[in-house]
Amino acid sequence: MDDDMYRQYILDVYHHMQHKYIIDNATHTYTGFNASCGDQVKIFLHAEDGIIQDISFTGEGCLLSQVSAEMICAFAKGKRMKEIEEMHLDTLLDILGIHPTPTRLKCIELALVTLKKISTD
Amino acid sequence: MNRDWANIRKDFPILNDTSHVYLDSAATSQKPQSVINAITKYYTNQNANIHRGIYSLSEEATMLYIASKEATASFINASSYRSIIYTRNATEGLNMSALLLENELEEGDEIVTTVMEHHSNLIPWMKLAQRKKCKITYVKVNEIGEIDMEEFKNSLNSKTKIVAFSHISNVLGTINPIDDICQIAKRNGAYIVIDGAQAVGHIPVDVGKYDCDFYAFSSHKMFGPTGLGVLYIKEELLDRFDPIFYGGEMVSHVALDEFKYNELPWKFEAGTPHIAGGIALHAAIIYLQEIGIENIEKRNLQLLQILQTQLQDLPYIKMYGTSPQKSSVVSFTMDGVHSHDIASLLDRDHICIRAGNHCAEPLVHSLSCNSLARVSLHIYNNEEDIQKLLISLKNIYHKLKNG
Ligand SMILES: Cc1ncc(COP(=O)(O)O)c(C=O)c1O
Repeated sequence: MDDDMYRQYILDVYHHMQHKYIIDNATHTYTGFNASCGDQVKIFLHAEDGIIQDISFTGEGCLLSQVSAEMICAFAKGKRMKEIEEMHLDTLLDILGIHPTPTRLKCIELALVTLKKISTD
Repeated sequence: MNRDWANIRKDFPILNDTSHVYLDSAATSQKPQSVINAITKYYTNQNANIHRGIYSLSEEATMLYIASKEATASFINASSYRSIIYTRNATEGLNMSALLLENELEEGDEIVTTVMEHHSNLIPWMKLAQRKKCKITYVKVNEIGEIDMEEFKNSLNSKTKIVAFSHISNVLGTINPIDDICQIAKRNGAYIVIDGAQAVGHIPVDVGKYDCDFYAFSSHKMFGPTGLGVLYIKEELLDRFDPIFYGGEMVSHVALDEFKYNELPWKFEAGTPHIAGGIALHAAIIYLQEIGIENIEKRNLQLLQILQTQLQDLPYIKMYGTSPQKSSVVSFTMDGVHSHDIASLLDRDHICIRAGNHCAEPLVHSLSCNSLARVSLHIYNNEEDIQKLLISLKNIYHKLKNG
């Protein structure tokens, strides 16, 4: 884990998003919103037989909220919906490899909360 | 004035003992040693409850508390300390104003306020309007962050009973034309409620001249302690209104079938007040008066101009609120970089600024933003603080901009 929320790896992900677009055959979409800061993440997901075949997102907000969405999409592709439903924030933090300050934790959580809403709908 | 600003900075221990560059004084100001000492001295040597003791320790505490009220009254040019109610903060004062005015409203009456208000001067009126089935009109803000005065005039009519607005915006820094607004509102026969949270301790405040009915502010934004606020209310209204809270100290006589209100202002302060806070606020006022409020105003204007000039040179920074009548508050966005990222990255350089909607969500949205970064300066800041900020902002932009 790294205390630096803005280390080079995170910046590289931010500058080279692989999943920030709209897929046209989405079976599920859901928009998550952080009212206190205005961060927004919309997730598009194509699932077949409970397996996430394709996933993407659009959004606007701070770097952490967008990087978190990007990395969660990369992680979720090919996984069972059920697995995502049970995914814990710590797993996401492990993937990101950072220790956010308490106030910034909600930026990172946004994509996860949004994705979980989809998978439980 | 025989003190220079570098020495004044030394009066604030937190700025000497830490490496922080504190640029968030609009959220709360730092405290001078004299204020910290007043709190310690009270609890060390002077602590007793007020109004009730026959013994000298209590009498002394009572005198100190009253002296604080007198100092506050004269600081904002209220005719007497009978008009000065101590609250928890500006928010409580504004809520009390709304509650006290509840009986003055009838269904269909109107309240006029502005889009630039802090939530503290918004929600109490929204709630009051809901309860009394009244209408609220929100006056808009123009491109440079000033209240549109034509629209303000046009928004008043015979049903307008309350005009509530901020003296200075905590986001835009705009100093509103308070004399004009009060005159126009008075001519229309409306009660005037002013949110002075960002004004007191920054610019001269004169409630006598404004002829306003309510003026609320917070001690913690004017070098005083947290937990204490001030609500000025015109004396004739205080005689007429029933208090909001009931209990000890606010009554002069109690029998089981009747009670009689205490004199002003105690009628409106039920229970043991924040005595230490009141005494420390007095120390803050003395400190402000020693420097001189005009000197403070000039100093802050200088700092503002340095900051604005420097930020203007950065093409990727957009400032919001550029009225020539402005306090030392600068809100801005950076191209492609969210304000929370700016604040987090500045924090790594020990620079404290605020980011978000600043408890003024309708205003921030009216500027077509979700979130703003805000730098607010006070007399203890210096050019070096501004230089450090600028260097960090440039680094952040180059670090986060695409590619
Ligand atoms: C313009 C304005 N009004 C009201 C308030 C509320 O002050 P407090 O939180 O001390 O009650 C603030 C403080 O942020 C403010 O800036």
